[in-house]
Amino acid sequence: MTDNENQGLSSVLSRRNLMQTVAGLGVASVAGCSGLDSGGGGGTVDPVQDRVSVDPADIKRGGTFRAGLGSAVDTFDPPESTSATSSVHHNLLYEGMTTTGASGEIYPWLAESYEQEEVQDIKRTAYTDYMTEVQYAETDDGTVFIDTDEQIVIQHPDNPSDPSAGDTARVLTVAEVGDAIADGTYGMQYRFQLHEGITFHNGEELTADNVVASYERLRGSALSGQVFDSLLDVQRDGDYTVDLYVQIPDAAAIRELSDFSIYPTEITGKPGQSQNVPLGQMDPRESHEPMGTGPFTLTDYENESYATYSKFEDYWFDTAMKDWFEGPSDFPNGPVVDEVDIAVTSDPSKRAGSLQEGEIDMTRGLSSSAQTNFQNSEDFRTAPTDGAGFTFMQFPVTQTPWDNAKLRRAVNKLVPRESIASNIFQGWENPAWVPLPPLAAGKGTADYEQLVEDLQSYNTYDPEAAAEMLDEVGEEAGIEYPIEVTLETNSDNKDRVRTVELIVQSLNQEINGTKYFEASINTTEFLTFISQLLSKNYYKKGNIAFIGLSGGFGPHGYAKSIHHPDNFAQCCNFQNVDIDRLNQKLRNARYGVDVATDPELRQERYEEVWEIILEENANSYGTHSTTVGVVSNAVKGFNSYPSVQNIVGYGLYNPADEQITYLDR
Amino acid sequence: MSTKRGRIRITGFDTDRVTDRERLSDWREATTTGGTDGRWKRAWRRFRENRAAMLGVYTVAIMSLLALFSQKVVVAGVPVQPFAIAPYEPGEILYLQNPSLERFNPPTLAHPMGLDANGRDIFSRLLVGGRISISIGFVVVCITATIGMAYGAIAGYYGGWVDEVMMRFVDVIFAFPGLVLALVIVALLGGGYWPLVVAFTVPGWASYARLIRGEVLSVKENEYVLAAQALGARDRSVIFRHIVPNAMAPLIVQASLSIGTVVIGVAALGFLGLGFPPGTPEWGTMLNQTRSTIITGPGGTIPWWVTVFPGGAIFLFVMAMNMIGDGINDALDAQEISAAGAGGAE
Repeated sequence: MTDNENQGLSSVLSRRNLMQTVAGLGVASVAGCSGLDSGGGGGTVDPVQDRVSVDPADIKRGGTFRAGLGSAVDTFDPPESTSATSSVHHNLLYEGMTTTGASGEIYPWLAESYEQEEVQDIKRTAYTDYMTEVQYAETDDGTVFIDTDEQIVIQHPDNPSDPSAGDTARVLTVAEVGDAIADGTYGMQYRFQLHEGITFHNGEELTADNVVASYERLRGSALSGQVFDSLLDVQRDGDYTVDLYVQIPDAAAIRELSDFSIYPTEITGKPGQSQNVPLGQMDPRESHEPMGTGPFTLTDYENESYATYSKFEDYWFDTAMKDWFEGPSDFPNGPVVDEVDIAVTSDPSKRAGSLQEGEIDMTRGLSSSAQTNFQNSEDFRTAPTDGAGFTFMQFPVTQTPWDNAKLRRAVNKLVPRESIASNIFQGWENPAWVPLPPLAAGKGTADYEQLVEDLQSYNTYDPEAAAEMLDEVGEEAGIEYPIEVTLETNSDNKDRVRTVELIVQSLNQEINGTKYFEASINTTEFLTFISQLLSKNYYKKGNIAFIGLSGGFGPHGYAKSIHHPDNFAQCCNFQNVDIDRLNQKLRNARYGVDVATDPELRQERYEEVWEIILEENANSYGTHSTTVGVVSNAVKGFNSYPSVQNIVGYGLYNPADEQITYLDR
Repeated sequence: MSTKRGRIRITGFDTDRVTDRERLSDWREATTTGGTDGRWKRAWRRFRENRAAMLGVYTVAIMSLLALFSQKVVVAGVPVQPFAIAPYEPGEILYLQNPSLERFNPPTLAHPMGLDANGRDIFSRLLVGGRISISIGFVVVCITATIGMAYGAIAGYYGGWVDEVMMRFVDVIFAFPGLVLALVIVALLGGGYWPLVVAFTVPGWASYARLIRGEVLSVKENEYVLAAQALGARDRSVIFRHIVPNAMAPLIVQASLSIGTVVIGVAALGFLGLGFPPGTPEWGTMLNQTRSTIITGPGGTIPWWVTVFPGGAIFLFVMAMNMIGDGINDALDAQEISAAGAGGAE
């Protein structure tokens, strides 16, 4: 969701999309968007801290793994879901052609193998001949959109940047992509060879048709924005071969595009025909049973309360099928627990209580102090992993005096990151010394430690240095102090409010007898705040916005989602940030034959990106998250996935990391 | 002929003789000897003799004074109240300047009530927070009692269909659960001091209206009301000069008991995370901010000071207000007053 290359101003969100985005942000709460999907690549360092492993000989089979999570499932139909917690459920039921280890490495999963067949040096303008002209229209609330029912794949780069109803847009829709590909017009081609003999929960065997029809289910869905920013088409070539075409050379394509869930024909219908179960209705609440190839089937669901899953007896996986599997031969061929129960308990302290009382075996999202106490207890274990979440403070860069980058850099030096991490998060989150978190270090820099050493000075708390810079800015730009400013955040995240309160106090302190800021805090309930942030006029208010977001294994999202004009009035460029040289560097770091084929060049380009970000400081990054699953001692072998989205599924079984959890009560 | 012929002389009405005559009995006009007190004076004496009530008064007075003097009051740049007994700013996060401090530091001499989840001095916050929590109770009760009094008096005095219509509206207000209605209003208006005042005023005035209306129904039957009407006094003056002052007693009892209820209500909304922005040192909001510390995970020690002190402050104030309310109730008890006999001394 963070990465919307194609979703510029001109494809302004419809009201429905807006609400879905908002819903997604709401459920993710700390993390704004749902996706380890932005940017490609992956780290090579295991982000799991103190990984525990299991000797297959010790494994006890059976039992019910009971988890407690903070929010319910928005829908069991993944293309319509924007919530990170819902993905926890989806990952038990559905699988994609590839899977990902905790370090971000990609492994073929339903596919036996995949190959990059071709990379062609083309730009989006190459599709001009295949494009059709469509008019813009306007909704009742003044939102302008391109008036077509077809899924738009590519918009012409020269379409009006601030369109009004009646203007014409040139677009490539799914109806035209076939012609372009037939003529050899595409950026990249990947070929996936599917395993034979994989069966869905309903007994149907998986073929290439299921992959194509499942891809078609993404059209016009809530996830279409993040898929069609790079994907061109998915086509079958025989029963078990699938070709995936990418719009332009994209170093992040394989991660972004290859793991969409595959459903049986009972759900999707045949390729090219309408979906059997309409989009959004594959849900027990709509009387349609969710079906995939995953290791579990849904047995019971009580809305807003709990979901229970039981092991799928005909699960297809066998470690012998995978040549990348390097573990022992007696490593199980699927999860060893018989049942998974996921209860919904929104209050973190109640979840802590449930865990303590033995009502559940695992939970996450507890308060820092509770996590510390569980960590110190002999009866429980905390499983921390470097996370994909980060907090950031976005300046009103178009408003005086915040249009001055030096002023923003000075304020950045008043953000007490260390104090935030140690006092508020008790070490469970880490100061964001650079915008790139350790999780995504693999593709975003050649040497993370060196990067931190080189750039950390931008982000260290230093009131004296800040005062010096502020004095200089004052003279250069004629700025008078104190500057009045309001910092805004959502009221329902206590640690976040505490963080902002600390920053406000830091801004308001007198340094050498001068008070530079008259800062105040304004908190709003989450959904209201997000609606405000996503409005097109927010940037004119002149307030500093503080919120959290989730990136991914790839470096791109950590930079683009909060800086790029494509993300303006969407998640999460609220202040109309538009820095030409940064946009240019970002594009060059991800798109193009050179970076798609040369990872080192890509790393170098991203290193330049991080420095520009800190130099311009349109956003001050606060902390990088840690994903912490807490388990009782009956749970053996559990490690947390970096993203909340797969914290249960990954913990229970992932042969790529030889990850398995069993119960010993 | 007598020069006084034709003139009738009436004797016995000689005022000098009446005043100068010998006393027929030893009856004296009570007021001149101090034998009986006015109703309010008598109530005050009885109230003063009620130790529990006076303890309440002292408690409320001390808490109010502490709140008043917690920080300076500056109006338009002029310090109206120059004292500041709170040792720290209520919003000051202490560990930023003094890294030796941490959040949830237990009570020490320097911080007699410890530090909260943000590393702020709880003692200072309690003192300053009293300004909000205490004053809002008084403000709401003043407003609701005034509205309710006028409304109920009019309904009771005019009676008939006016009374019928007005009291059915009161019934409508009563049909809503007060706290839920307050919750809805806060959700509509957003938090803050005055929205909360509105939220508690909207459902709050109805009970006063009903009370005073019942009282007026009985008071208006008195002869002095008839006399005032016969003398041509206007309705307004009859209601507010002759009836209402004689119907005030139950209203005052109700008002004094309501202050505590409102303070609890505001704290309840604060505890639910409504009412005030998270950093506000309002007592209920302070409790909300530390709610999660009650369940700490295994082996965790509960930082009792973050909940006990704000909770204790609410308890102390409301308890004191209730003692005062009971004292006033005893002092103004209408039945006792009537049983004492008109004009009779106790």
